[in-house]
Amino acid sequence: MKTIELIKKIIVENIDNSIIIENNTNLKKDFNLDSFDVLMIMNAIDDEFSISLEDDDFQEINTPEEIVSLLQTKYGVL
Amino acid sequence: MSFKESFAFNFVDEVELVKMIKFNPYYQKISSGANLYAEISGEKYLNLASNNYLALANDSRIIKAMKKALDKYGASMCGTPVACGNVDIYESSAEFVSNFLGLEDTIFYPSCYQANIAIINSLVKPSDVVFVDRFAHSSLIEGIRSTDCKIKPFKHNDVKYLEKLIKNSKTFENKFVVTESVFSTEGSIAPFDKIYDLCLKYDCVPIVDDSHGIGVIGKTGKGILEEKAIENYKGIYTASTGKALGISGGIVSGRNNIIEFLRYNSSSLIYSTALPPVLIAGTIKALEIIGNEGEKLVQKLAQNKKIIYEKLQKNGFNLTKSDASICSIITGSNERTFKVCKSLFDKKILTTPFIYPSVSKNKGVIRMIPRIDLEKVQMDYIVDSFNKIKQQNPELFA
Ligand SMILES: Cc1ncc(COP(=O)(O)O)c(C=O)c1O
Repeated sequence: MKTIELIKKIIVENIDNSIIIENNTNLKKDFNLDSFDVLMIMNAIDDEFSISLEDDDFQEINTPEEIVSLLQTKYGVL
Repeated sequence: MSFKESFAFNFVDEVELVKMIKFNPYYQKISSGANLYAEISGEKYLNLASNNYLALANDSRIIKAMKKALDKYGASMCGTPVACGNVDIYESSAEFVSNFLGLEDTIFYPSCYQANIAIINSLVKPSDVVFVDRFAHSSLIEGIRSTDCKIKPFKHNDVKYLEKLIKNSKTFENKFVVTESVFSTEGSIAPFDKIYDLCLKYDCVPIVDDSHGIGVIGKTGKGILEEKAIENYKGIYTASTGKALGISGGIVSGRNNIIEFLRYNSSSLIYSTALPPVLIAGTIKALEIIGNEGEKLVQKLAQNKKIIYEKLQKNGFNLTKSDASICSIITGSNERTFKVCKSLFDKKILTTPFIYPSVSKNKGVIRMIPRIDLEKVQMDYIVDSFNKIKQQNPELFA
């Protein structure tokens, strides 16, 4: 599975299986994510890619695309 | 919960709404006790907001026991438990509470909020991981956040999700699982037997907050451990005495070694004035009453809940799935939540509106406690009032 698809799958699984998200969906705005939602997504990404995201990594991040870009540039995920 | 998610911060955003609807549901000035009817500005309001589930806060047997303790011990010991606050009834009461719950030992904190923060702060280290239900009470979350540990929230009451998280968390020194028994904004009950099994299987320390369970669930009102038939519980148990027991204070119970550790390592216990003996005396009387009449009380409460819940559901209202004695109507946005609360208030019914961060964003509810002293006439009035409000303002429930 492509990284972006994997990220979207993780988000849906952790937030709500009934939501539909696109690569550029603004997650915090469109789905009203609170800090625990974000933490659950981050923990799941950590587990999936065997990395350790830092607490403030997601501060400026809003979309699945931006998550992938962070994983590629900062954590070397392909 | 970050500062941005704090109630105060959000409420500033709601000031406009309060101005618009000319109603602030918070800090209502009440000039009576937590009786069935609360007095506000000289008028009587049906009080479905108080957590006085069993009407014990106004029970004459409890008041008598408390007056006796007041006469004997006075208002307060004016000292912390380690210094000069450890009165004789603390020890006998600790034994009483432990026996009631089937646990080894108990300590009393001034409140369960303080207890939850205190125990987590004293037991959890930065090298530990805490798995916590994502809807856990603010006090539990505040305790966890105060420790610098790794926080792994799990989906609400989702045991499979929790097991996956635990399996993926091998590198931590100690593992804790934190949850509530009854989630008080919606009335769901944690599958705590299954959660406890996971704790035993993967060597995690369970911490359960039974604030809305004690006196309310379990066949005889003994709370979550009875409800889920858990014997020989090895974890940590906390509960507020300020809800069904009708008093005020926090109980922490568990194994001897953990409670003894907290006695000497929990700064909120050691450096805070001991819970006044009068409150301990009230708590013991409340537990005595539940010990004798629990089954009957729990049944009546559950019956009241069933009547209101089913009637509202039949009339097309959208309620949270609730297994405990809580009726919550889903209202969604802050605006609808406050407006429904105000419409009920206009009909002399006092309820609790929950908005973010008490619940997820736009998942507001109006909560009612179907207290034991409600009679048919009042329950009919509640349902009638909802129907009238919906007739006049269908958009509030669409
Ligand atoms: C689940 C839960 N835990 C703890 C508390 C706090 O209890 P206390 O009022 O004893 O501080 C509450 C009360 O709101 C609660 O609902």
